[in-house]
Amino acid sequence: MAAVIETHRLSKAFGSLEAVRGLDLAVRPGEIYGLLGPNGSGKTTLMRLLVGLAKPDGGEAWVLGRRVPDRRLFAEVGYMTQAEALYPDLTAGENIAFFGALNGVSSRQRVEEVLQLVELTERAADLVGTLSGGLRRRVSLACALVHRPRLLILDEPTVGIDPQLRVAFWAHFRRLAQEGVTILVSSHVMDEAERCDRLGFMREGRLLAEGTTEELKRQAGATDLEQAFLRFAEGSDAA
Amino acid sequence: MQPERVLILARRIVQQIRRDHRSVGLIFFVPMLVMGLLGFILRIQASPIEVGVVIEDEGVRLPPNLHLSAAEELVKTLRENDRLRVRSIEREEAESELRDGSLEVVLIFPAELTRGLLQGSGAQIQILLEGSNPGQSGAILATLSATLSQRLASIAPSPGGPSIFLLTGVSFLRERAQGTMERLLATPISRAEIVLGYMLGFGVFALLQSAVILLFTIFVLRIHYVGNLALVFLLEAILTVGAVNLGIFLSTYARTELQVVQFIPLVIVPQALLSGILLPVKDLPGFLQAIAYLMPLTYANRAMTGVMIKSFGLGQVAPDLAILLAFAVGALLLSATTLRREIV
Repeated sequence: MAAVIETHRLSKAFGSLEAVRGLDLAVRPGEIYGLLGPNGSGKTTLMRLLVGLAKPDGGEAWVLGRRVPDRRLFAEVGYMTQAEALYPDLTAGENIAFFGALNGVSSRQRVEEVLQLVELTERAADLVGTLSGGLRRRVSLACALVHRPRLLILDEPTVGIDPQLRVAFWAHFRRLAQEGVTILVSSHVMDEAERCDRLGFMREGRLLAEGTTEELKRQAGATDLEQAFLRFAEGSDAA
Repeated sequence: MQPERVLILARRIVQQIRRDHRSVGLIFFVPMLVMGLLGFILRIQASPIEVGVVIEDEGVRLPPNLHLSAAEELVKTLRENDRLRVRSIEREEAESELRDGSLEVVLIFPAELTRGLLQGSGAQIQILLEGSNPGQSGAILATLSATLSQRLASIAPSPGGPSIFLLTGVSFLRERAQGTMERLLATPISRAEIVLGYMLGFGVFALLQSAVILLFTIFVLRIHYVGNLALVFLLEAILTVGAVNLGIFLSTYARTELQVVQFIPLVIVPQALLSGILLPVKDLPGFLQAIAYLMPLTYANRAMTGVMIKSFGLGQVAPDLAILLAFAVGALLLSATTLRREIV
C-alpha cells in the first residue's frame, strides 16, 4: 500500500540553521509513527513542512498522494501544535466548532461527538481561558480531530500533562489508528515511544535510525530506548 | 475564495468582541466622550467664521449733512467680534465663495434696509449659507452659532478610527502570540479570506459605532446637519477598511499589546492634529499642509464636511472618496504582503 507520508532528501534551513537535512521518511497507512529527538532536532520543522505551513528548500515530500505544500491537504490533515493555539475568550465548544467549520464540518452533532471523545461534554460551555492546562490540551486535540482527518500530525501532544491524561490520550490515538487514521506524533519522552508502532530517532535535522522499539534496541545492542538513542547519536558523531 | 469561510471568521470576531464587555463599552463610550469634549472646545475656541457682507444699503440722507446706514452700523458691530472675520464682497461673488469654502456665511444688506427700518416696514437682511435656501432668514447670531456647530458635524465619525485600528492590531497580535494563526493557516482558509473576515467582523462594530456617534452628535450635541447619511456610512466603511488593514500591517511590527498602543502617537495623533479637525488645513504652514495631504483623515474630513454641511452628493465628494479608496487599497496590499510572509 502507498505510504501516507513520503519524503525524499527533504531539507529546510532558516538562515544558516539547517533544521531538516536531506531527510527520507515513509509513514504507512494506519500506523502510529513516533518522532523522537531532543528539542531543536527539527521535529517541529518537519511537521510544519508536512502540513504545508513551510516550503521545503530542497527535496520533496508527498502527503496522502499530494506533493506539499498543497492547500487541498489542509482539510484532510489534523495538526495539533505544541502551543495550545486556542481562543481563550471562546468556549471549548465554540473553539472546536470554529475550526470544524473552517475545515468544512459544521454539524453540531460532530462537535458533540468530539467533545465526548475527549471527555469534555460537561465543560463545553466554559471559556477556554478558565480551563486548566490539561483540559485545554484536550480542547486542542478535539480541534485537530473535529473534521475527521485521515492523517493526524501531533507535535508533542502530551507535554506538560498529568499521567492519567497521557494514558487517555494514547488510548485515543490507538483507537483512531484502528479506525484507519495515520498518526505522526513527536515526543522527547522515551517511555511514550513504546506505544508507537514504529519510531524514528531524529537529531540535528537527520533521521538517525528507524524501526519498532524492539528492532531499535536490538540494532543498538541496548536494553532500553534511551540507551539506544544515545548509542545511535554517538555513532553519528563518530561518523 | 469561499464566502462561507469569511463569514465564519467574521462571526467568531463578533462573538469575541461581544463577550468582552469592557471593550464594547469603550467602543461606544470613548467616541462620545471625545465628541463631547471637542464640542466644548470648538465652541469656545473656534477659528473665526468667515463672513462676507454685501452692502447695498443706500442709507438715509438726513439734513443737514448726515448719512445714516443701518448696514454700516451692523457691520461695524460684527467686525468688533473677534470670532468673525468680516469682509465686503459683491453679490455676484457670494455663491462661488460659499461653494469653495472661503466664506461660510454671506449677509446681504438690501438697498432699502435703513429706509425700511426707519419707516417700520420690516426690511430684512438676507442670509446665505452654502446649501441652504437663499430666502431663509433669521436672527444673525442664531445663524452664526449654527454655522459654528455645523463644523462639529464634520468630525463626527473621526473618533471611531483609533479604536478599530487598535482592536484589529491587538487581536491580530494575539492570533500570532497564542498560536492560533498557525492553526488558522493549517485550515483551508486563504489569506484573502482572513483579511476579508477581519474587515467584516470589525466593520460591523465600526458601523455601529458611527451610528451611535452620529446619533449622539445630532441629538445630544444638537448639531444641525443636512447631509446624506448613506454617503456618511459609505465614507465610514472605506475608512474602516483602511483602519483594519493598517492594524493588521502594524501588528507585525509589535511584539506586545502595549507596543500596538504605542503606535497611536505615530499613526493617530498627527492625523488628528493636522487633518483639519482642529484647524483648517489651509491655515497650516506650507510644510505641514504637505504632510496633511499625505494623510487619509484629511480627505475623510473634507469629504465629511462637504456631505454634512454643504449637502454634497456622491459626485462632489467623488475625488476625496477615490483618494480614500486608494489609501484603503494600499493598506490592504500592505496587510496582504504581511500575511504572505507567515509561510516560511
